[in-house]
Amino acid sequence: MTKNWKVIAAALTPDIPAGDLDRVIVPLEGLEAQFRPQVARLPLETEPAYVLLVQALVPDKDGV
Amino acid sequence: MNIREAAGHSSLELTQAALQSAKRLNPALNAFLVILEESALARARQMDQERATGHLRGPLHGIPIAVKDVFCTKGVRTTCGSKILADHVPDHDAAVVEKLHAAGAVLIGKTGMHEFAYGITSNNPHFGAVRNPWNTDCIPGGSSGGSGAAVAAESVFMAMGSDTGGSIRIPAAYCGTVGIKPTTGRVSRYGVMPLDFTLDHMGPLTRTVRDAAVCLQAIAGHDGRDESSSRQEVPNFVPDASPSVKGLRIGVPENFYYDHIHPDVERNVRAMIATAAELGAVLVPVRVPDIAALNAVGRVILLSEATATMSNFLDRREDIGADVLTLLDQGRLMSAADYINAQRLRRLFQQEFAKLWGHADCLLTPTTPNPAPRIGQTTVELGDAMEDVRLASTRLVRGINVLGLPALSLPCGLTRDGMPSSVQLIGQPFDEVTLFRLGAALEDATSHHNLRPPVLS
Repeated sequence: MTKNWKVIAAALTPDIPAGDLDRVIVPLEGLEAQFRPQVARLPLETEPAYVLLVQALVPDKDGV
Repeated sequence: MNIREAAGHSSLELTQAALQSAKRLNPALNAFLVILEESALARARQMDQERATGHLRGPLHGIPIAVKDVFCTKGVRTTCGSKILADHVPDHDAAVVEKLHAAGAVLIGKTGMHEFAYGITSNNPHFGAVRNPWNTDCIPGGSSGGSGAAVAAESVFMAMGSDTGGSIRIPAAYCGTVGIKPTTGRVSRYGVMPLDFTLDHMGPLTRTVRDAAVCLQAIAGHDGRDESSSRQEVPNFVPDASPSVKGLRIGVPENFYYDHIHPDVERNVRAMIATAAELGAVLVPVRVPDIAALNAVGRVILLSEATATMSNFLDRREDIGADVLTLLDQGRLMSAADYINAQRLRRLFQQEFAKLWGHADCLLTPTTPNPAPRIGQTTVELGDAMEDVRLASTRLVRGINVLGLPALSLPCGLTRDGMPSSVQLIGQPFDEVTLFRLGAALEDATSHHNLRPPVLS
């Protein structure tokens, strides 16, 4: 799966000015080339590395 | 003079000298966004009075310091290097500022930085370029560039930085100072203007390794106001007078870290590796996971989270510098699926990297592949390739933020052009102690930390 960055950018509001578009998109093409093959090797069961810290929402014994 | 040596001096004398240095050098370096002369002198007098009555708060008692302008300071403007936040005056201190205050430090000013901490040049379009004390035509690195410049210029003993993709270690490397990015969760992020909730870390830049250990000791520990804050016990970070590294297994990467590297940087880093071996450490050749891919994961996370963090600023495009705006626009093009897959890959890389610790106690690498570029320079030539300055500067450091590991940078000598180079020691989670021990041993065996920049002559 590859991305058409110009099409995606055209859908954004506020606009990315046409003069800025290459500066925004060209580095993303390099990033995409490195990132996409990594996604392809992800095992289906791998969970994201962020967690909701539910424990932090439980009051301490003193109610704090 | 280091923090231990300064302890014998009056705080007022130290603070007056610090203020004089900061004011004298700021026209050349632009390291400080604000110098807090009145409050610093009052605080120094208070610390001397406490000392006279036998009340010593610890090794930072009366020591002049600075913090990057990303740390909230009650009643003192905190801009994050941005025009949008130019009038932002917090009603509270960051946790780090609270802890430094409790430890007796004297805050003499707030240091300049890359806009929103989102870049490595500290060439700020709103507050001017911060300059490198070793060559004022060069960048100090960033985003904590003012902190690196202020410490290298010996205006303060320590300046706090924040590090999302190398923003402590890069200015430490380019300015010839020590810098530590602690393990994720080791230092509270409460009261620090966020760039990226996954990748942000807080740590000190100092003149010596032991000073960095002293400062981390003062600011480490759990803080319930920061959900990422760890309850891991805080050990004694400060190394012995004669730290031994006999038998310490130092992983020396065979892949990635020495590709496309400035020859003088490689020479100096290899000399430090040889020094470690002479001190009795065991050098272990290791192959690291795909760091280029890890960096790509970090960039996807950063682009996504930074744009989310600053989404309310995006309707003020004219008030944001061109380079930061480009990154924010790139973040707008990331998809939710990309972001989630990047976080899944982060877990995968953490698992792969953890296998290294069966073979080595820490890794030793260069911090940056090149010395400080010139202000306005957009590419660097490394080997047979031209590379974007930002991507080159972050190439060897960014992935460590993704993994959450601690990393210590320390000087390893000058290039033939007289610019600093630096080694990076990467440790296991919450094992900053080993990094400080090895760093102090290397520092004791060499004299790189005693080199002084031309701006002081």
